[in-house]
Order: sequence, then C-alpha cells, then structure tokens
Amino acid sequence: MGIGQGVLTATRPRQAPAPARRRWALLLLLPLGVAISLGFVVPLALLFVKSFETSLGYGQVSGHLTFSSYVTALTSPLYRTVAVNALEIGGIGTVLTLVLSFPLAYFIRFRLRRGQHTVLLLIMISLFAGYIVKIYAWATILGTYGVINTALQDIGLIRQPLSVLLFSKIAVLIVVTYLSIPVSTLILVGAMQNVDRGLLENARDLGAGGLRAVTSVLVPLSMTGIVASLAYGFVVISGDYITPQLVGGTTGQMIGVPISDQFLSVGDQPLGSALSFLMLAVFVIVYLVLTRLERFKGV
Amino acid sequence: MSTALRRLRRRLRRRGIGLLHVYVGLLLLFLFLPLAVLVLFSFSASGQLRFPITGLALRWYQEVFSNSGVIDGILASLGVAAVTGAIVATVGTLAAVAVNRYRFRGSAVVSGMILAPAALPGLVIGIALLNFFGDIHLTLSLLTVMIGHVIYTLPYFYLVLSARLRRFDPMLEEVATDMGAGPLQRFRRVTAPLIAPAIVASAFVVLALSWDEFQITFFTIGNQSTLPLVIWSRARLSIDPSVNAIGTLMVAGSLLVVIFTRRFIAESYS
Amino acid sequence: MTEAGAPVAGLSSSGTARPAAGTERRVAVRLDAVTKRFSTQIALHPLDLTVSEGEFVTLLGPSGCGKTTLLRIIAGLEWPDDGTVSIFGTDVTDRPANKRPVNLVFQRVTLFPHLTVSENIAFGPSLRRMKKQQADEKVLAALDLVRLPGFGDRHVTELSGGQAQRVALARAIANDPQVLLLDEPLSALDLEIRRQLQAELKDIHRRLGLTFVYVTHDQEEAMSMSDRVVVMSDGRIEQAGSPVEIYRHPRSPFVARFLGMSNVFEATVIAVADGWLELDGGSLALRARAPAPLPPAGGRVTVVIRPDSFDVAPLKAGETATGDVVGEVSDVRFIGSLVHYLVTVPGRKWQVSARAGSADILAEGTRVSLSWRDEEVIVMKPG
Repeated sequence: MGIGQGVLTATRPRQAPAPARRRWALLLLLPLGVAISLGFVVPLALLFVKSFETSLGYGQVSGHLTFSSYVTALTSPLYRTVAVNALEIGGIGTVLTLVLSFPLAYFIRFRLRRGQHTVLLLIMISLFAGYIVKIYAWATILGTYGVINTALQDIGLIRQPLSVLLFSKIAVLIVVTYLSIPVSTLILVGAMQNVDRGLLENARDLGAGGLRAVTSVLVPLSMTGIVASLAYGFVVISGDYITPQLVGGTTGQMIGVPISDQFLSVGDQPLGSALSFLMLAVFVIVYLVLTRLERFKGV
Repeated sequence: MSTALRRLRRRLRRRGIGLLHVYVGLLLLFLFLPLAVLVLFSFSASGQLRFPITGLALRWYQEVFSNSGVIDGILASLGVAAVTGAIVATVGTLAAVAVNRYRFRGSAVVSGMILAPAALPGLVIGIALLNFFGDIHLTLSLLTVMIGHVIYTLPYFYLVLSARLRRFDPMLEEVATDMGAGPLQRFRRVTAPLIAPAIVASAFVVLALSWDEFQITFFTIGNQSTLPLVIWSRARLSIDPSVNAIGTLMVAGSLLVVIFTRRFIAESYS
Repeated sequence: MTEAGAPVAGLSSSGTARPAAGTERRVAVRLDAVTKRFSTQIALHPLDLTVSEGEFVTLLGPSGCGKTTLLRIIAGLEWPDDGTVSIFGTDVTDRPANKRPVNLVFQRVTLFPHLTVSENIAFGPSLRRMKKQQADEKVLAALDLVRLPGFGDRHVTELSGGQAQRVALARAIANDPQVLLLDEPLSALDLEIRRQLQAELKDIHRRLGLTFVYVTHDQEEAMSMSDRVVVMSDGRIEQAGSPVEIYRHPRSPFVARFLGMSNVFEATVIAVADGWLELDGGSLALRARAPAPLPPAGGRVTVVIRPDSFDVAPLKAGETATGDVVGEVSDVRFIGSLVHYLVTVPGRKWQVSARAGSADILAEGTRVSLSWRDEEVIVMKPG
C-alpha cells in the first residue's frame, strides 16, 4: 500500500482525480528519467552501435557498419576459452556461494534472537570492506611471496613456492566466492524475513526432520531470494575482470579481461562491445532460466 | 564415531552448540580471516609479509599519511561519495515516493528501469560510460567518476527506500487529516519525519557503495585517483605493507559508516 | 466526578452539553440518501440516518455490511457517490476530513510513532496553533479523562494495546470534535480490557455529553453501550432502535439471528382475530400478536421465539406434557450464569436458555416440557 492513497487532494471532487495524480507522479520522476537516460540508456545504446563499427585500431573506428566483430567474438578460439571459464567459474561460483551462505542466512534469521543485529552488522562490515582491499588481501595470502607460501617454506614443507595456489582457476573461484558470500547472505536473510517461523515449527511437528523441514518449507518459500542470489552472483562473478588479473594466472582468465583490455590498451572497441553484448545475452538467458526455476518451485 | 568424539558432541550439544553453530563460526572466520591478516600485517615492523611477525610498528601508516597521493585519494573518494550521495538521495527519493504513492500504469516498468543497472556487471557500465564520454568529448575526471557512481548506486538506494516506504502505515496520514491537518501540514508533521530515517539509511548505503567502488571507476577515472584506485596501482607493483595500511584504513572507514548507521540499518531487518 | 453533561475542566464538548430533559435536541448528524459504490459493488444503498445531539449510536453488523464505510463517509475520509452529510445543520458533503468538526478513533493503533503521548494528544490543537499553556491543559485533562495520568512523556512503543487506544481516544477528544466517531476501537483487545474500556467509554460519554457514533460487529458491545443501535446488512439499514426495542421486537430474520436469536422459523397464518394470529408452524400450533400490517389468512410469516422466552420443565417417565410442547434435550452448554440447551421438538431444534441458579442442570436425553407466553412470540415480515 502506498502512502495516503485516497487522501491526496485537499479539495473534494466528485470523482477521484486520476489524471492529476499521474501528472504529479511524472513530474517527480522527471529527474530520475533524465539521469537514467543520459547515464545508462544512451551510453548502452551507443556501445551497442559501437559493436557494429569497423575497428581501425587504437580506439579508432570507421563509419562502416558490419557484423565482423561478432563473428570474431564467436569464432576466435582465444575468446572461447575465457568465455567458457567465465561461465564455469560464474556458474560454480554462484552455486557455491548460495550453498555456503544459505545455512548462515538460516542461522541469522531463525536461530539468533538478540545476536541478529550484531551478526548482520559484521556481515555488512565485511561487505563494505572494499572490493579491491579483499582481492589484495587474498593475493597477500595466496601469493608467491604470500603468507601461505612463505610459512610453508619457512617450516620446510616445500622448497619452491606453490604457484598453483595463486594464479589458477581455483584461486579465482575461491576469491570470487569469498566476495559474493556477504551479499548473498543479505539477500537470503531478506527473503527469509517473510517466512513465518511458525511454518518451520509446523513442519517439524508434522514429522519433517530438521533438514527436511528446511528443504521442503524454507527453500520454496524463499525461492525469490535464492533466485536473486544466483542471478546476482552469476552476473557479478562472470563479469569480474580484476580478480582474474590478480590471481588468475594463465588458466584462470575470464572474459571480462579481454573486454576491458580492448578499452584500455588494445583499442579494438567494436570487438570489446561485441563481446560485452554477447555476455549480456548470456545473462538474459540465465535470468530467464532462473525465473522459470522460481516459478516451478515457488509458492 | 569414536566415543571421545561422541562425548564431545554431547557436551557441546548441552550448551546448545550444534553442527550449524560450528559451521557458522567457521564461515564467519573465513570471511574475516583475510581482513584480519591484512590488518595484522599493516602493523608489521619488517617489510615482509610472512610469519612470524618480528615487531609492531606504525611506520607504514606514517608513510601512508605523508604520501600526498594517498591523501588525495582519500579526499577524492570522500568527495565523490558525498556528491553521489546527495544526488542519488534527491533523485531516488522523488522516484521512490512517486512509485510508492501514486498508482499509475507502467509503474512496474519504471521500477524495472530504475533497477536495471544493478543487473549488469560494473565492467559493462564502465565501458559504456567510457565510450559515451569519448563520444561527447568529456574529459575523464572525478566528475565522470561521480556520474558512474550515481548510476551504480541509484538502484540500491531505490530498493532500500522502497522497501522502507512500503512499511509506512497509510492510516497515519488519514489520522493527521482527520485531526485537521491540510496537505502541507500533513507532510511536514507526519510524512516527512517518518520517512526521513529511511532516506538517511538508504543514503548511507550509497556512501558505503561509492567509497568502495572500483570496477566502474576504473574506466571513468582521469588523472585523479580514488582510494581503491590508489590501492590498485600500488598493489600492481608489489606486495608491501603500506598497501595493507591503506587497506586497513578503508576497512576502518567502512566500519565507521556501518556503526554510525547501525540504528537505521538494524530497523530494516526488524 | 462531574455530572452528566457538565463540561470537564479543560475539555469543552463544543457546546453540545446534553440539554435539560424535555428540551428539543438538535440533530448532530444527518445523512440523506447516502450511496457508495466500489467499482463493481454497491457498498451502501441510499440510506438515511439521523443522530441526535448527545446520543450514543452504534452501527452494528457483520463484516462487509458497510458500517465502516458509512463511518468514514461521516468522517470525510470517503466520498459518497450520492447524498449529503450534515453536521449540526451544516452541509459538509464537499468538505475534506480536515475541515470537518468530527474526529475518528481508528480500529488499529494509529498513534504517531515519532511523537510522545503528549505530543500525539496535542497534535490537533498544535495544528491550530493553540497557545502552549492552553494546549498543555487540554493534554492533561484528556489524560485524566482516559485514566492515564502521568503518561505524557511516554513513548508510543512503550504502551500496551489498551493504553494505546486510550491515548488515541484522548487525542480525538482533545481536538474538540462536535461528533466523536469510533471504528471498532476495542476489537483487538483482550476480553477483560475490552469490558473495562467499554465501561469507561460509556462513562466518558456521560461526562462529556458528546455525540458518539460507534461501529462494531459485537452485538453484546453494541447493546450494552448504546442509546440506539442501527443494525446494518449488505449496505442497508435493517432496523434502528433502542437496544431493548430491537431485542424485543426484531423486525427481520437477519436482525433476529444477528442478535443471537436462533429460533427462527416459518409459519402459516390460520386465522386472524382480535389482534391475535393463530399460526401453524408445521407440527406446532402457536398464537402470536398480530403485527401491522395484518398478514392475510393463509399467508406465510416468519416467527421467532427468543431462547430466554421458554420455561423448561423436565418430565418424569410417563408424565404427559404440562406445557405447550414436548421435546428432548440434545445438547447442553453450561456458561456459568446461564445454561444453553438444544431441545429437539417436533420438526425442529430450539435453543433454550435458562438461568443456571440452583436448579439442576438437565442432562442430554432428558424429556422436557417447554412453555412460553404467547406475547413472547414475535412475528416478523416474511423473508
């Protein structure tokens, strides 16, 4: 319900003033409309157009429109590996994040009474500690001269630094999962707020064991949160272009890296745009699949 | 399971500690361990990031604070966050109130459009803006960074504020009218005081998000750097504790913001 | 303790002190042909209602009957599609709620959460920029009236349900309305608190002499507090009258059933003579006073006999009937002061209430003889 519906007019008309109401609403929305169109819609549209341009290198384009960037993007083996990596790490990462954060969210929502705020606070702190700070922290731990390697060397367990720790797909997976857990937890807790504690107790009373009660009652009812967590996680993880650069090495690169390169150094911007929109297309497909999932299992 | 383990489990159970508690403890540990290590080594006297720690010193902080680049980064981050917060709070509040109060066709579409930027990775928003600024010949600077932040944080502000607005009891406005308040009085005395905390809470979310933002800023930054960018450029070169110090400062900054708004944030989960 | 109608210090009743007995009372609220439609449904059929100055009138009916809508129309929070609303002679139909001299106590707790108790109560006066001293006096008087002295500085969240509704009442009264409207203010409270507040409301009404329009679905509540009860159903007024009147002479089966009388059945008129009807209730012969207009011989009428109209006497084995009809007890519910029996008589089951007192409570299966006075048989319009 919105604020004050029905009591908005000071004078008394015989009919509800629907046109006047809409006019006010549109006026209020005007600044937003300007901001979004200028800052979001127009840039995206321009980028889309850019993807059809012909590249002259170093960021220059001719006016000639073509599909060649898309063809390159789809056929070149260079981009296939990193694209597959992105899908892999994105998929596994977001599922892993969900699995790890679900029990935490459950714990916070249903098992904590007074401690709820404190723990949520802690999670928020870890969330807001900073993207780059966290990646850097992991680099110092997993790195060639990082904590783990130096410690193991000092103890004498290994002679050479384990480069498999850093610079690998696994490293990327660990870091991106780490980065997503706070947000995923918050999303899930939010979704679980709407689930009545009594429903779970009811399920137990009817014979469902602890875990069964959770899976048969909580999961369907918090499906919106689960889907949101999966969708958000997948997008953020597969679009990450910094983590692979810091901890990915040769095997852990993701599609975001060549895309960003095109715009920062290489200069084949149409290719970069094409790759981006192909990535967005994949996201749309993932969204559709996930929403289908929601309706299937949902209330 | 061996009897010793079983006995341990029973003792823990009696204290109400089950498997779930252990898991949560470990997970929280996992979340905070890297940050703890980061903070720890920022105080290390030696320049090495290895155990054991030989001595504690503040030298890295001294180095950081005497470095104008870092100071500039902090100021830049604060400035961008503040301006972003102000803009987003204004535009976002108007939008959230409009959609919440007024029933009009297409309000779902409007909501969708407001939330759209959150569905894209920062990479795409960043390169789209970079390309756009190039096309309109706008030099990259803190202004362009701020534009990026506004687009990025607007959906989150709108989301949080809308959720809070939905909790507003419409009957309170009816009561005010029944008591004799005209529309302006009603807004001043009842509506505004009640939605103000929600706006503040949402605005702090914006500040926190802007303070940490990296992936879009990376593309829209000009000559000046925000603090995350400073960390990035230093971290590229080497792993040295001064970066730890900067990182610790960033964490401290976030901590302050979160603690300060604890009252507001907690309300949204009650 | 002030006398009924005398103004309570600090609180005026806007010149509506109950006039001395015998003088003509003014009309406080008049509704003429008020209609309300909600897109596809008709919420209120054209209805007329008059509330006299100082009266305690209750709109009684099941959920969805339109009583709350009607109240909100009086308050100005809903607009009627047709008809007029007048308060003390002034047509307020086109005035919004904030310009009407009436105040509403809502069903839910709607105290302003960002204000203290005093600030809530002083809200109305503060809108009119009343001087602080005067407003403070009003607040104190109001708190005293609702028996919450000293609660002024408390925060809204610290109050119990009953306390909160008292503050809501104080807030409405402090605004000096000419008519006080109450929308089921007690329905969310515990029974004991509800009983207490009912008595206090009645007392406040007496002290202030203010016109009250009350809405409830609880017939006991309505009957115990009101001067007049208006029974509503499906957007229409079924019957209006004093509690005694509508209880003794319900005019329709709906009113009868809603007031708890469940022995409603149809009968055929056999003969009409001297203002009395001879009725055939199918396996049962009855006499009843004839209503006006006289139903024709051979016509069908609806009859009701209230559960408390019966005398019940158990029959020993073999005894023949001493009363009008013989039946068997099929259900017993002991309430405390009353016993409710369900008695199976030829053709139907009747609810019979008897005072528990010191008499034995009859067991299930007991054969009983029921008798009643013919005056107690109520004939209503058919249907």
